[in-house]
Amino acid sequence: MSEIETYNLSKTFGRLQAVQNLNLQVPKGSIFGFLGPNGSGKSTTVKMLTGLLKPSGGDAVIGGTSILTSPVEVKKKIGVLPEDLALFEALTIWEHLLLSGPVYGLSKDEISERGEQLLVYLDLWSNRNTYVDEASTGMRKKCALAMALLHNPQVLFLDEPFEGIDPVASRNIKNLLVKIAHKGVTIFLTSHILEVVERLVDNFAIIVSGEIVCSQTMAETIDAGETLEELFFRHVVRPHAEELEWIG
Amino acid sequence: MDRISNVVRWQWRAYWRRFARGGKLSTGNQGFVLIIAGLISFKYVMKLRVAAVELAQGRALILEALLAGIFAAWVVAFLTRDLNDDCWRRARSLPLSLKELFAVRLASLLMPPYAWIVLAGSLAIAYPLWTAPRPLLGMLAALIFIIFAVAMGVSASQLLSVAKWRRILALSSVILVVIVSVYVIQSPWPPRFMTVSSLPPMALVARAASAGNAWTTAMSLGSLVVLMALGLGAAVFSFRLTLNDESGNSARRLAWSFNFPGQLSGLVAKDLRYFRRLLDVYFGLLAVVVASIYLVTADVASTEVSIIFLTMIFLPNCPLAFNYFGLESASGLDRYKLLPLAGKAIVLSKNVAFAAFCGIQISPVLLLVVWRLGITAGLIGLMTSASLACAYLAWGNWMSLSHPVRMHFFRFSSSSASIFDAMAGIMFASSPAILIIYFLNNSRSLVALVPLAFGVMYIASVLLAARRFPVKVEKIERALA
Repeated sequence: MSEIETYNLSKTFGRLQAVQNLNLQVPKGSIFGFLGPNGSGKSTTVKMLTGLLKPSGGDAVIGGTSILTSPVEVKKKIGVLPEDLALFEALTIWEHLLLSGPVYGLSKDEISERGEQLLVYLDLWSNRNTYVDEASTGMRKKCALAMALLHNPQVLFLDEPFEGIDPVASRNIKNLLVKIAHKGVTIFLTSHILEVVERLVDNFAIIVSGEIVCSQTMAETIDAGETLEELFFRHVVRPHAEELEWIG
Repeated sequence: MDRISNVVRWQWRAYWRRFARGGKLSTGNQGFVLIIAGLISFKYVMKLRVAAVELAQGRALILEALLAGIFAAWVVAFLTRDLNDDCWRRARSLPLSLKELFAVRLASLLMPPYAWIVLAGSLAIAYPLWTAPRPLLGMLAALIFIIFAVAMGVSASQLLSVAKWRRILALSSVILVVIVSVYVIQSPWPPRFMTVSSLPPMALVARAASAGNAWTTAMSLGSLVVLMALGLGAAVFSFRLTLNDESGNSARRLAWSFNFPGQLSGLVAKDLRYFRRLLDVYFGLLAVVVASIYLVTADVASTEVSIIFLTMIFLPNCPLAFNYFGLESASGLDRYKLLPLAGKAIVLSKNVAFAAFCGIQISPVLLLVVWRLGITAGLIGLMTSASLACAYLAWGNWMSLSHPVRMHFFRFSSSSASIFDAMAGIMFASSPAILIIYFLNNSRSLVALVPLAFGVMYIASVLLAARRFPVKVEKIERALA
């Protein structure tokens, strides 16, 4: 049973076709890796699926609900760690949780209890009173992740979750993702760190210039005797880099 | 010098490209802005001529008033500018010395066209001074005064971007307001300082230009030079502070306001915090102080005057209603889009925050109205406030979605906002007060119709804004980016 399904999902910006007729199925309770080089359409896809961008064509169904007809219902089901983190200036990390909790219908006690557990787990509790605009990149990312998890979402979208995160927190997050996926939460993540993705995901797709060029399970890749990195470079044409003789 | 000019040249290009790239030159009814600027310039030129005639007759009241206006214009011009934009952050990472960075900062502050208008207006003060008994010394004094005004504007702008200094300035302002209020309440009406014609720096320019003896002229010029040196010192000092500002990180924040009940409580609490970071709203507090002084000291207080004061309290808060997304960053707006909220809920959260913010300001005045004029006047005040809030929000629910403009914390709202729409909005939003005053004097039974009518308009505006929000949200995001 698929938790995320897209049907010819497309996005154009003027003449640029950022995403073209994307068709994806992500099974419930799986970890799905969405890979691709810079500017390939990964973040645009995540933005469309999470309601940050309106698709130019096609549709997507998340947890049985269409993003076009019931966007608010979809947003209740999902947790998002967006590319730009979507945090408010002049609010502390703790205040971000106090702000978003009631919107998802959580009581004060639930927010306090879950918020404390999340921040302790993410090693952020001692910094809970820090303004996010004064926090480090890693702290800001962990704050956004805590916001994404606070309401116990059915589907989790994570755009580059491990970038800028220290190794300890990174491992904690990976363990957490595996654990919640076993409990039935579907995870859709993008990342450039192929080694991490390889060890974490059940399925993946590679997108290049807005089109899916490869979509398979991790088990299939291993059975074929390939690594994710080899597969990735087979599909992604690397630009020829001139030697920069003048450096050094 | 080459390095500075290179950086400034690219900053200049980046500044104008911001408008040209997004096709924003046409937004904000720039044509009307030009017409209004032209009208102000015409009035200013007229005043310059009056000042020249007056100065020739040995009086300097108008000249001093114009100089005070120039001083205020420089301070306000710099207080609308964001000091930490991307260009500045990039410039800071370049291998430039402190002096070079300061020069880049000054140049960037003088880039917006309104800074040129203020500069042209400042230099035009030479015209009346030409008719003074000592024209050249007068012009020299005016030049020193202008440098002092620029330095003070730069200092104020820079100090307000440092958390510790904001607290110091806020505390100083409160102490000053309390002292002036106590003085005014205890003095016979009108208070004595209102009849004092010559205040220090402006009077020094007038004295340098028209003093009968050389000693007074020299003293005036000397005093102005000292003031200028102090101003420049303050500008450099505050510049160093902004470069080394590391305050704030350790501070414990109070999250009490996030404990209000309701689904939108967090968003409203956030907006209350954002709103008090816009400098315009402090004029609302000033209006509250003046209204309170009036209600406490006036021999015969009137309901009509109280209504006018209520209107004046709402007036500086208009950016919060007419441009309620202006203080959001593009990233913050993304969070709104990620939350499971329909457009109506988002619009309502902004409206509730505005109503709560204005409510906090007007409540002491309404209490004083009840104390001084009775329950009926208090009810009329309450109806006026409710009507004004509905009118401001009815207009704001249209304008915030149609003409969003980025505003910055601890700055005045941007002068690039749509002035024509804002002025039309102020006229519309102030109309409930005019109608209520009219009905009070002609047909009291119709007073209750005013809040009803504006309430209906407000509800219609919310429904319309809720439908428009999903369509307009990308435009808002582009405007804030």
